[in-house]
Amino acid sequence: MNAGGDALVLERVSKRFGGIHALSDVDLVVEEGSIWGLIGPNGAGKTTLFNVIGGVHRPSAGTIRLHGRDVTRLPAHAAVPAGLARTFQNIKLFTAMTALENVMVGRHCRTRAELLAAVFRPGWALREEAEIEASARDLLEFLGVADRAGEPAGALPYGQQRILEIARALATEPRILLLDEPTAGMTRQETEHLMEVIARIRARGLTILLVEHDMNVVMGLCDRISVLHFGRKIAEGPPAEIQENEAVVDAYLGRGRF
Amino acid sequence: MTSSPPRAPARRLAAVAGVVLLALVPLIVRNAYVMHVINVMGLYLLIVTGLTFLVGVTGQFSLGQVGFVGLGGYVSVAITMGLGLSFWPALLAGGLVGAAFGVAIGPVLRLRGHVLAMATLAFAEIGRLVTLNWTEVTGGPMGIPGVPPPTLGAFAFDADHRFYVLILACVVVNYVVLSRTIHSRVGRAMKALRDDPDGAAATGINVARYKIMAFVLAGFFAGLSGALWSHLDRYVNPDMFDLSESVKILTMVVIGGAGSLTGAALGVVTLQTLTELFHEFQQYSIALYGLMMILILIFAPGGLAALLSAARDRLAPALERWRR
Repeated sequence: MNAGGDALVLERVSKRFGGIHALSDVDLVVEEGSIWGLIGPNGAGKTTLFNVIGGVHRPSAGTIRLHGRDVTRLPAHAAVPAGLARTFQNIKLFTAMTALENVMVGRHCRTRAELLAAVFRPGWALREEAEIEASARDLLEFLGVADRAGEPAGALPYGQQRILEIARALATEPRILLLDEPTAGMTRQETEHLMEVIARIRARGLTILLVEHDMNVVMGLCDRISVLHFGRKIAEGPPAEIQENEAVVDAYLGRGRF
Repeated sequence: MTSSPPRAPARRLAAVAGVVLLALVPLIVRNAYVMHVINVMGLYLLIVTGLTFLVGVTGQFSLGQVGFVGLGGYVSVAITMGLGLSFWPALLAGGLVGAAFGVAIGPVLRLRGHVLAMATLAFAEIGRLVTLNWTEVTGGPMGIPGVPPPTLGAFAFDADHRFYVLILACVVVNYVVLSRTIHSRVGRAMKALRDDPDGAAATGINVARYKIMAFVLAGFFAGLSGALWSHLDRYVNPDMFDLSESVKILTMVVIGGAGSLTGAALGVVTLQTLTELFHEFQQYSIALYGLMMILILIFAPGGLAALLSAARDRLAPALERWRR
């Protein structure tokens, strides 16, 4: 059951691909309203964990609860209305559509005009369509990319594409946002802007789960950090503690120092 | 710029004026042969709009649209001749059976790219082989002659200039449905899954559902076309399912520009006019379609629709100056 303040609870989540144990018995309790970091060396299972939480992969064992609701077996598209949104390490925007349309797609799961409404255009469907566009514009404004609304998403500079992907995720009205390496490939300036954006998103009451390689970002933003290594959680705690943790240092630098 | 239709009142007025003009065609064209060619264009249009929608908006592919046409043709004839009902339920049934097979093809939609193309091709071939060999029901290779013309009270749609009205009505419905779908929440979801299916799923879109919906729409109008076709020709035979027809329909889509309904009309009119002009070279038609497809894909990948809008963009400033 929901303990009141837990946004996301993973219990003994495992994922095997054939003989490979990508995740082994991962327990995770993400507190509501926190920025939670997920770090680990390459191949530690961070993206696999995101894919399991987001419904891209079904876990081989274990349960996942979102604000008390069991979402373990939900497919990706059904996890979104349950309050889960994500961005991708390799950006997955709708490149031929405009920036505005990308965010409008994000409103899909909160709106309802289907084929008949599209064809006959009753009043409520027209109002809904206007609401979709207005709230998408608001989000572009909120994230500072409103001037790009009419451009194809694929034509935006890299940093803005990452911001746009966040805008699209926010349009689904998530309660928890999974960001997979949001600052990858960004300039120093873009990274600082993004950190400020993430802080503003948290201020809206969202919980954020963050996979990130830039330690300045992780240490600067996160309330708590979980460390994965070979599919197992090896450490967890506030940033200062993690930096001192011997197991974490071993995982990153390798053993054999003694 | 956005997906909402711009300048709605002006566009609607232009569309209504266009339909009125089209409705006058049988009063102007007195030549029965030309009228028949125009009707056939309308019947192709119902199929081509569906395929251009599938390919350009949803990013799916089908070499089996003639399967839906043939199904619509045979099912509607089964209703008018087998059950002795009137044409109108048969027309609707033709569309619905096309739509139903659009759903049935759903499991195939997990396939992507050329594997999907092969599966849809197989679907049409199965239709052809069944109608060819199930002689006691379908008449086999001879087909079923003597299909009655549609009637409304005492009025019979028994000649091309009369039948034209039915085809025009269906084409108008077809354009309204598809263009409104494209500019809606549904169309947006379809374009999203075309651009990135994983991204679409992660944005809350049920990808399989909207793929099937696109096949249902395309299947419905192709089935409608088949029902009209069999009652215009007063005849059905297994040639309706022929692969060369699939290739022709695909060529029309490519020439017009995938995803554009205006392009669909341009593709149909261009290719069908060429087909009629060079009737004596019919045995080379597939080679000609292939050549045209290659040329368009090299020199104008957006098809005639893209050329048209490029020309419009160039002319717009001049037109603006002329107005002042």
